[in-house]
Amino acid sequence: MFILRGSGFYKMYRHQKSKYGNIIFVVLLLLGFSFIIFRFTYPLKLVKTLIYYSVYPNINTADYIFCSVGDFADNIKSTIYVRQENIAYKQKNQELTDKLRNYDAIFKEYDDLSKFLKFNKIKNTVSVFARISVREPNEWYQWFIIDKGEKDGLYNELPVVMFNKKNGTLCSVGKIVETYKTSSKVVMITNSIYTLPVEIKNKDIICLAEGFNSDLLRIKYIPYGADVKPGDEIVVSALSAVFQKGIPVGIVVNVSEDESTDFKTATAEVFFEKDTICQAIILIPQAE
Amino acid sequence: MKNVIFYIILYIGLCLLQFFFGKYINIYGIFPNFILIVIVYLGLSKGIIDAELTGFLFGLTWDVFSSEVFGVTAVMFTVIGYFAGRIHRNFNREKVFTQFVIVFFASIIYCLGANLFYFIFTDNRNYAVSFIAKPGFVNIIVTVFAAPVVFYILDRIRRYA
Repeated sequence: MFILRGSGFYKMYRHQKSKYGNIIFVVLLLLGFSFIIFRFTYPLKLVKTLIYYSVYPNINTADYIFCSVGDFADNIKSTIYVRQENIAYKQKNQELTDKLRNYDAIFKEYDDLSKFLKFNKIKNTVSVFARISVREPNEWYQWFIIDKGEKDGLYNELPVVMFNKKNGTLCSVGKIVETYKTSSKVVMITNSIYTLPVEIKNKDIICLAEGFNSDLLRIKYIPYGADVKPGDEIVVSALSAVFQKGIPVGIVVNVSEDESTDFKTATAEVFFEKDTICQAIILIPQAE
Repeated sequence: MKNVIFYIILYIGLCLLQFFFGKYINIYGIFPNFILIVIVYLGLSKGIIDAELTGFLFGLTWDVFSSEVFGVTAVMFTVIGYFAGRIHRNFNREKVFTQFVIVFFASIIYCLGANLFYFIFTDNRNYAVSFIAKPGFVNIIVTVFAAPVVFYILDRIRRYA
């Protein structure tokens, strides 16, 4: 087509051409950038080497091909490893599911048996560790205050125990009687206002332990003919509403036999470390 | 038809010259960038579309033959073709000084742009200084001085074609 230079048609033609030029430019740029961004370099290298190998096969080229596919091969290897791991985890999962099923069956059996035998079930508890923040010297065996309170899920009548390093067990210390937002007051079993139902371990002798504001407990209402002697261990009895049955309390140090009464009285030394007590454990029973 | 044959011959001839002969007849790695000169020539003589399409095609071929980041040369040659085409009415391409200046700036843009892309998309940080390094700059100078010769040859070919 013949178009005169300088005419209106020529300007229109030039404008049209320039517009197409711009559009093509943008398209080509996008194409080029997509090549760069999507990293076509390595696949292209591989294709080039493969073509070269098909034309002129030699060991060096083959080696180069293997080196080039390193990432690809690594990815395949990783996929296989992940799959193997997945299979192993599935097996483990199956085993754990079976164990859980067994546990459920055992738990049910335990539940049935405990009902049948009227056996006290072991309570599930959550332990809260607290530091003793206040302990008055003139009320050393009566009270102390811990740094955990309502915020930590504590409430009144919760049992407080501590770890006895000598025999490696938890032993009873007292119970919470006042709860505040971030602190609680604990009355100790050695307090004169505290009475704890206990029993002599392995002898089925139920009696009461009373505190008298010292490191000793007075064990009362021991049947007269009961075989109790110094060295016997005292544990919490099933009658206690605060502690679980069997928590160690103390050890008998002296037994007094007064013939004028029907009961014997003993003195027991508490298990908890009297002087160094600085941390207590509060056992919060959980719903089944 | 003549145009198509011209472009096919140009493509094959340039590829042979740049990628085959360039490998063997360079002096310490210094060899003129004939493809860049041709793209500038096409931009100045034929306009935007021809220059940018040819630039893109030559760029892709260059990327296939090189081991650098694929697509960088295609983008840079497209940009150079586009800008050469944009200014083709403002300059007289037959003047040697114009050829020198435009090819010089095109080479600078190419070197800077390509090195910037390599700097961003590869782990080799030496690209930042490779442009300033001696072979890169000497290559630009050689390309600039080769431009009038290439322009003359292409003009002749077009006149006879």
